[in-house]
Amino acid sequence: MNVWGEQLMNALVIGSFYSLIALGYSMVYGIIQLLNFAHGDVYMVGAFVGYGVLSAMSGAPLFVGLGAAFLFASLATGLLGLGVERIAYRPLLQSSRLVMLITAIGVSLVLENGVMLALGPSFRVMPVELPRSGLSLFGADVTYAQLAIIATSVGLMLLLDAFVRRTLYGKAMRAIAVNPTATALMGIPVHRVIALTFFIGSFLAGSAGVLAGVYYGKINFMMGFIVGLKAFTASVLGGIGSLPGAMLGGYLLGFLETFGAAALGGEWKDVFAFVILILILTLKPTGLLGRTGTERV
Amino acid sequence: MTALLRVESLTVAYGPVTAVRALDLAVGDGEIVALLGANGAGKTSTLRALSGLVRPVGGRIRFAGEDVTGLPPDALVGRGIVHVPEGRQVFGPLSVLENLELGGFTQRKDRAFLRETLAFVFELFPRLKERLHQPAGTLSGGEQQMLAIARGLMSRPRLLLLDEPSMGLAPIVVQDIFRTLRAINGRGTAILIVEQNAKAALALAHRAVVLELGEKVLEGPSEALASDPRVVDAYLAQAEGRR
Repeated sequence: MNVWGEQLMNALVIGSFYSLIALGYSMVYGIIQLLNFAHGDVYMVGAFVGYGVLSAMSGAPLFVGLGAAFLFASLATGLLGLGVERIAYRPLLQSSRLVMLITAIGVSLVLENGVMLALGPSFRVMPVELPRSGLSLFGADVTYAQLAIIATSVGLMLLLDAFVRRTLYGKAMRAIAVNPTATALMGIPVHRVIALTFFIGSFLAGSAGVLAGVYYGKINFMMGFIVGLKAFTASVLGGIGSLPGAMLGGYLLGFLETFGAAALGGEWKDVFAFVILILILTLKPTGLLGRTGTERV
Repeated sequence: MTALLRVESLTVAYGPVTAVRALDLAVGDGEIVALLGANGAGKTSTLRALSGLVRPVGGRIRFAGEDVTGLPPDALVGRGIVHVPEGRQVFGPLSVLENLELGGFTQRKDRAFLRETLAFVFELFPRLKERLHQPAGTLSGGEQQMLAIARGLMSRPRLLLLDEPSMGLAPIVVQDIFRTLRAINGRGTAILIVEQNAKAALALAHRAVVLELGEKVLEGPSEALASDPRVVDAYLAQAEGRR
């Protein structure tokens, strides 16, 4: 048994979840300077949609069910992001950042309480069990499920990176982050690009939600709260607005938290994240990869 | 000359402040019109209304025979009204090529047009070709202005709105830019240009309009205005004196 190796895998899995969610925080902040505090709840909704799909498909083979749950949950949360942007944020784009921030907290409460009222406050157990099989890497027991989660997450991030750097809509996103007025003068439909940003960010959070739900086995309407705050911490750690920063921050936070908890005891886990948030905000508010005046999205 | 752009009684206001009052303005097909006036005369506000950045509170804007009053910027760019804003406003962290690609957003399906225009733009501004993969923010002021105009050309303008293209540039660079504007106009693109440098603008334009406190006070062929004592006193003598 290689305990450190297993902790490393745990760190990579949890870091994947943080990174996927942090990306949405960072993209939305980069493009409209909104700290979307409802983003963690989008992750929670993703887990619940996945739960619904898996329950409906309980007779199907495991991989078919998981694949369907993943796709359906990601798409559904992407659409949820579109709806939230259209209803809650777009009418406020010209108003102050504080108004948007308070609205985001309101959206968060609506999502949390909406799910609680519809589905109840108690924990639900995901109707699938991941196979415990795996392999031994340098003496550490690694499950195939862990490898699949990490590979899926990294694959999504590579796709996002290619999208933002190579496609015209991705370039338009980066342009809006620099100068929305000049972007509009290119004939680029700025609102449509902002909506697309919400779709992608929410898609990624929803995919993290369904992966985490299946991995931990239990879900609840408040599950997005702490995770959302930690993903926010991760994006601040990496430099909010920077996509590589969000990925780095997510994995870094996963590592610090996992190894910190291993050294000091599990009850210290959450303390780590928020001590890091305070330290970064005090010492280097632009984060590790964020620089003022440079490209945001 | 048939009017490509016909503005009737345009009024632009920001809250209680009226920036442009009952302005009538026309730009013919292939014509260059200069919009002159002191700071705060309403020149930039006029351009912002024409490109849809602000909604006029009154008046009509007709373009190529169609009423386009109050349309959003993307609809206007699609019809050929392209605004190159004051201060260049290139996307600094994006490469020169990416800036040009974004300029071509509305023409993205017409690959032949984009290829030809890119070739034309490199012919006009060879420096941009040399710096194609550099972040636009690392270009000099003159090069950024070239990029801003080139980016506008990628949108396939029938009417190019230019706001202060000479701002902050050395006289020799300004000459260069104005030469390219003549070449662009030579291909049939109409130009409405706002300029502090009245002398250069009058030398370039066919006609000029002078604004004062949001209202049109003078209008006429450039040569006539260049020798009109009111224009000489207000805009040209001063510019001569400064040199």
